[in-house]
Amino acid sequence: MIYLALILLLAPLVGTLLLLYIQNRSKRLSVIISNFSILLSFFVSIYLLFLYFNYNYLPETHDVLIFADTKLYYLAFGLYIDSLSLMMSTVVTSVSFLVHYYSISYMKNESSFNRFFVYTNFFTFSMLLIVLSNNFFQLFIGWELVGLSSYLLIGFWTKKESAIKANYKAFLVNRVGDIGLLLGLCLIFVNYSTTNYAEVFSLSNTINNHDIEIFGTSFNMLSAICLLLFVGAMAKSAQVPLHFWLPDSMEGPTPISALIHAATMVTAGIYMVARLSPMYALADDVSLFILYIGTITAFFLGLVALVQNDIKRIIAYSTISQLGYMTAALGASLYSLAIFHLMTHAFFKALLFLCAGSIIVKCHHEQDIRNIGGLRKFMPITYMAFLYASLSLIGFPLTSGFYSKEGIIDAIGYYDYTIPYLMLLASIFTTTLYTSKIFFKVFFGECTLHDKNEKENDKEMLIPLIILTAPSVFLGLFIFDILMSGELFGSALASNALVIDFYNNYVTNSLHFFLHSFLTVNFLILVLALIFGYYYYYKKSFNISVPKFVSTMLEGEYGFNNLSSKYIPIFQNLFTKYLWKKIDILTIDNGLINNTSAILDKISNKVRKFHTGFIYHYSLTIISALILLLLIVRMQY
Amino acid sequence: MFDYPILSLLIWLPIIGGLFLVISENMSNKLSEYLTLVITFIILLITINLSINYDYTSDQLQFVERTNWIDGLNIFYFLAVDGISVSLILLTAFINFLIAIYAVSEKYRNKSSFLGYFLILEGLLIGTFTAFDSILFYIFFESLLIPLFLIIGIWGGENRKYATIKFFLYTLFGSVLMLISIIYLSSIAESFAIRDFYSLNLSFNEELFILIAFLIGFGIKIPMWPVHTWLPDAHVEAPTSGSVILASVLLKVGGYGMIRFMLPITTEAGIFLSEYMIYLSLIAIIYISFVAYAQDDMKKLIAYSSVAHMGFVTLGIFLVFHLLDSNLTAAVIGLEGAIIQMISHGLISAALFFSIGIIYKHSKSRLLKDNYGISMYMPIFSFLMLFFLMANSGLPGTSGFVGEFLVITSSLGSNIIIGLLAATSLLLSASYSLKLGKNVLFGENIKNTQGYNECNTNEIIVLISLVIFILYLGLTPDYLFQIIDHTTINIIDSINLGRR
Repeated sequence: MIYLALILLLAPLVGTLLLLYIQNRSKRLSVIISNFSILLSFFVSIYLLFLYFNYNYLPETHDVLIFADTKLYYLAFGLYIDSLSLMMSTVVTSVSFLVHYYSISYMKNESSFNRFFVYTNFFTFSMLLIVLSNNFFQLFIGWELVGLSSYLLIGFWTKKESAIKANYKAFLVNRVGDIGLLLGLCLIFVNYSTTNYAEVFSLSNTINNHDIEIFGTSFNMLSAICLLLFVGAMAKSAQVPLHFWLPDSMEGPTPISALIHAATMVTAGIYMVARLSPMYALADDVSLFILYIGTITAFFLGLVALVQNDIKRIIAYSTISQLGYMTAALGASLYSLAIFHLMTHAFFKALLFLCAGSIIVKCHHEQDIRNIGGLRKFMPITYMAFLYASLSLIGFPLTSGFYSKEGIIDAIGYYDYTIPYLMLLASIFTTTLYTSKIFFKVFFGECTLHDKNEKENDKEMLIPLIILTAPSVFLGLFIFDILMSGELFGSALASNALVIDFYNNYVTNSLHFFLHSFLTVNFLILVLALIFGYYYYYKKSFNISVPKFVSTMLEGEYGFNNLSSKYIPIFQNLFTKYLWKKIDILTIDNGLINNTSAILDKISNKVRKFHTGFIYHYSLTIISALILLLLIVRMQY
Repeated sequence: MFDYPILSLLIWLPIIGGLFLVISENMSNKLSEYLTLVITFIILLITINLSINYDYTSDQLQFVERTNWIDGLNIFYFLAVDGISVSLILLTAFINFLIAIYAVSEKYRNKSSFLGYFLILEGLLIGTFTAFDSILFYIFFESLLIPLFLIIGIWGGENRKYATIKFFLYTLFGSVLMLISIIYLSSIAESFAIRDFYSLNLSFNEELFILIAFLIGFGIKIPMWPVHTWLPDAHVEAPTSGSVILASVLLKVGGYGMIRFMLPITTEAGIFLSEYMIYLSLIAIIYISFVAYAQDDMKKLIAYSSVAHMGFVTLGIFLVFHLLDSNLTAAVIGLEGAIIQMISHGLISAALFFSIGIIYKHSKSRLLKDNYGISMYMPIFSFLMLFFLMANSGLPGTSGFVGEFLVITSSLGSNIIIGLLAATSLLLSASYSLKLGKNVLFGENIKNTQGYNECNTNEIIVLISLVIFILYLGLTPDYLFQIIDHTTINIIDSINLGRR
């Protein structure tokens, strides 16, 4: 298995290197190499999954490449193969392949066509590096490398000023999270001299008994580590308050938004916490913190989506909000539910973004939904795909999104986390509302296309949409039962008992869950929101005036907009210039160094005056000195 | 193993060759280029051979050459290598070979003497890293100033007079203090061999004074905050190759000296002062990063970033003092981090100064506002430069990460706050490095279409070979770890032995 897993990991890397080598020689060759390498990865991943479940393999871990092997410590790159990593790598490679295929047509007029695939292949490799890692050190490396690919891809159009600003911001905000992750990793490494998952997990009870001193107060070591690692997850998975890079990242090409900023990279934080669930399950205080961060993100950033008008920004805020759901599930120790929602979300959100990409191309790069309308007749396939993706997003019964999202909400309610439960319920309303906003404005109403004979996009762009529709709708139903009963992930995730208990006592089975859902308050909210959206956005039968301060707050994205684009840059410029001019130049250079030389200059000028060159001055000095000396001698005897 | 004095050859071959080039002013450019290339290449081959034959499982000094030099005073001509020396010699030989390649396509007036000074510098640097007699070390250490002084003074920019005088006096001041303490130590030890100083029984006050003298002497060289202000000025005025050798190898002499002299000789005083020295390093990491962000001259920005990165080297070294009593593993990790950071910074800063030199050649300006949108005209170069900037910001997979990671790990062994402060470098170094990239490489440039064209072959060879080694050390640095591991542990052991 290890060799297959190596192929799975390295195929995209080899693709990257080949693409770098061929440069812009031929578009055809670029396409073949990039798509084939990802497809190979995907097939290997599927095959491994099949082997793993059919032959009941046990989790395997191998070190592949030694990084440092010294007398006192040991670091290596390695692979960890179990159901969790294989499921995740299947999701990553499948979405990645479809996006690659879609991009052939989407990017066909770009001059740096090849560069795009270099970056995307490299991204897939780095993501797999995280997913298949067997130690914290490699996790961190993959973590930063996906950040790098995200940076490169957001700024893919290097001439576009706003894109260059956005990728700078994205990289820096992610770096804030990386500080947390790095500190967590180093704390483990320095205290326990290992970074291997399995070894650290086996120590986690010991770690739980250790303390760490910060400013004279002691804290629990395990909580400290978990909290620091989670800071990394907060930045990567766009949780409050480190979320504000994600909406700006939409400056990149749309397939990238689908692949990186919706389906895969942003879920790395979720995956990490689930992967490390044996540690997080023991850290109750941190889990509670995670639960609240997730809930706040899900609710408050869903609201922001309501006032946005850029189609990609709306979906971006929706992504943040959905990531909030997953985070909340992690906080409630419902790890398998979080991963479940991660998987379904990857498919339906990628689908939404790819549809948005098709729409944007059709509308000549118009992204403001106020200027788009009536596309239903021109793009029937895109319309249908978008419809299914939306239904899944709002959690309409029987779709994938329904099983994963309702599962989270109901389970959080089942375990009596009252406030998070209510806030997550309320977010159903906002989710439905902004989804219907896009849906009604873009596909209905007055047609805005100039050319009335427009047709659907190329088949390269349509096939991925059609394929993605299947998991967006059916994946939930397909794996709900085996996942909830704990068969799918088994020992890969901790605290499985919580989910199983919820399943046995509340859900019973997927059909029952589906039927039962029509009687729940969740469904009522959903229907209310749909009716509201229908009359408000489609029929435009009434107007609501929101209080001024609420709308400014939402449009200003709770002040994060100003903070990141105005105040921080001003602070950076003024403060750093001040430090440089006042301390470096004024104090050290002029004050200490040049002043010293000036003073020396003065003294030497003064001293020089004694050397007048006149013989009578010298003789006077000699004589007076002699007299003085004689006097001293005289006085002593 | 070797029947010829390999270290002497490494030192004197380039010095003699360099002197010959300096003297023969009328030599044709072609011939001088070939001579330099051949000499630096031979040196590189010999160093590689040396590192292969270096037995890194042994704790002993190797390739020892020891003969009487000045009989009456007991001064020896004593050369040898340990793991740290080997790694730094490899760096020196490699960087000098790249400078020789780069120089082929460049125009300088009086090229043969220009190249000659670099050869002399190479010999002196190798001498500094291999001398195990303190007077011999001091002589090499001090003579380093002369060729660099001449390189900046003759081939430098407009304001070179101020810069050279500042640079010269600054470093001279530090080395005078160092000389005094070396003489004092040798008068007690009745020997000039550095290793004999380790076992001296000094009183606490003696140690304190010697420590401060060393701190100033090596601290100026490395440079530490607040004695760093000579570096940006010197860099701005130096020609490209001068900046390269200054940043990538000359600064390392300071770190090397700290490890060789300060750590084992003045341990007790070091433990006493370690907290304050750690603060100085943290100021270098954080404050200097802010200052780097404020720069609008590319060379100054990178110069300040060098100071910030050397902050990690000093932090790693001073952490050893701090951790000696509590956590020896963390101390070893910190010291190894410091050494690896030196090697890595040697490669990355060299790459960045080469890159800036290439940009300057095209646009005749080093200011950020005069250079933008380069990626439109020089895509390959831009790709490489972005890679170097990323390496400068400590991206994993590049060598820039390894040293910082180890030093931060070690600092967490003593105190999480120190670790947190050191780790802010992750954010700060990215903010100034990418600011440079954002302004210079990206954006749209329609005005200046004539100025830029893709690099020539020599430049590409130089940059690509740097990329390869930065990646190599970032992905599988195990070889480097093997070279330095025994030496590091040995140093820490000898410190502990000296204390008892």
